[in-house]
Amino acid sequence: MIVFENVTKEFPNGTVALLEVSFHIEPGEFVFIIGPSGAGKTTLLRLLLRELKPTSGTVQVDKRDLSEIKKRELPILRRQIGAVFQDYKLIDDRTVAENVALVSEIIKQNEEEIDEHVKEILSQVGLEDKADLFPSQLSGGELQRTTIARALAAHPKIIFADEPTGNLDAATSWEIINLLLMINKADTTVIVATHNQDIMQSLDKRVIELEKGRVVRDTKKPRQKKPKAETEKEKTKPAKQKDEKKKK
Amino acid sequence: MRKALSTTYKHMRRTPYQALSAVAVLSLTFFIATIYFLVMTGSEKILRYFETRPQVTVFFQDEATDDQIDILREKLTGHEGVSQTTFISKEEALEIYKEQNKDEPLLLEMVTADILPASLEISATDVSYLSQIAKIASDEEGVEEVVFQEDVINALTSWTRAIRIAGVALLSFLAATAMLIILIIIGLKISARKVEIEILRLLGATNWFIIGPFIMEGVIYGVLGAFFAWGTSYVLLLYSTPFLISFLGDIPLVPVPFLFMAVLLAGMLTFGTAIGSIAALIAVRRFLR
Repeated sequence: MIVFENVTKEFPNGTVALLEVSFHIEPGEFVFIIGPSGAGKTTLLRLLLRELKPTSGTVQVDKRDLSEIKKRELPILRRQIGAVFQDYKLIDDRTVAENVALVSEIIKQNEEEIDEHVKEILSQVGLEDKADLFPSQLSGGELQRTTIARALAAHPKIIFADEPTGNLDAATSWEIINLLLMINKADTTVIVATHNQDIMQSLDKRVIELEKGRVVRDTKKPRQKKPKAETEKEKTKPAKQKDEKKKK
Repeated sequence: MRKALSTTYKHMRRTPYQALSAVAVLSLTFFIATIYFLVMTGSEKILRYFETRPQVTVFFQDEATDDQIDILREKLTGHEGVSQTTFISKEEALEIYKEQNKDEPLLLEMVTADILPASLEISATDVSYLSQIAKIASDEEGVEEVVFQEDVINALTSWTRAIRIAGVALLSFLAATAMLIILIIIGLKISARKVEIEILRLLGATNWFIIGPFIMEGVIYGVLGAFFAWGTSYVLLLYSTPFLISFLGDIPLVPVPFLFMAVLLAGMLTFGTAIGSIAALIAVRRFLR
């Protein structure tokens, strides 16, 4: 589904963000991309959205080389990738519902469909009672959930969440990760770029580790059905964390 | 289309003073342009009126014979510069005199047909033929005097030409000003929404989805400006119609027919749409690169 083949990205100022990066991500996978700040995680997202072109190597989505995609085809590519940005990228003068509806408007759903669809997604992410609030009236977790709701609106095949827990406390971070796990269960490929080691270590998921633009670890293993116990563990983990926090 | 319109409405509602000032300045610009256009059209019509009036009058001596008059008439009718000749006999001249002085009984008592000269009124196809026609007439026998209004017509022609040239220059300048106003306001709005545009791009919005509302906004400013300018100038024209009727006398310029104003409205709305969309397109073009 997603193929990075010897991808190098060098910026005009000489900074090398990625160096000879190669990995394959299969449909329905849940992958953590970890590494310290400046390791190149955000550059991966920008390459995937074709916001940037690689200096060398190829990036493919669904067997299509993104470098060969024409400018007018970009919107179609971007609608397939639900991006959850580190800085949220919500529109300040639109309400939560309007921000989420934006994607539906872009893919030209009619107004009734949009209303229905937005309600459904907001309840999925637990924001149904915040629909009419503006981004400035939301907490960090709510903002992140809004961006996830917006990413889901176009029914994308891939969700790329860039540091979705970056500015959140532990309990809220688990809420967000659980939401992403739930989305993954519906067979959406989920890529989470993070430097939150706790969450990554608590879940038995594939990890691609970047350091100074290079892949230094990839825990890829053959895809298999999740054992029931693991699913239960995922469900209970955040609850436990919350309880611990309350006790403190 | 409907979505773009609703986004445009949101943009305008969230910056009402910007929208209001854009419409106000455009209305004023279009108003000046409309008034000047009306003056231009009016002066053309006045000139045309004078051009179709008899411009050369040949007065005959009392002893002039019918043959002499016929010879002159035939000569002039065959001339390329003459569009029409009308003979006015002594009796008809008296009738005209009576009509003109019907309120002055004292003047009427003293005049009979005998003392008024017969005359030939000639309309030229072009003002430049006037002196040629006057020369032909004054060389004929039986002609007492030839009167022609060459100076008046020439002055009017040069005035109309000057108004036309100044008008084209002024209208071009005003059109450029209107475009600049829309360009600046849409440019400001785009700058203010740069982040939003970037977000929309990353979410997979097409160029039209992004620029549509801005172009629509430019068109709305243009159309509203044109409509208000038309309305104001029409009200002003209706208000000053009684004055213009007495000022212009016989010249059939006012009241201006509604059909003319309806065509003017259609023209102005088209002009406003064109100015608005072109200016907005120029404003958004930079952000599409």
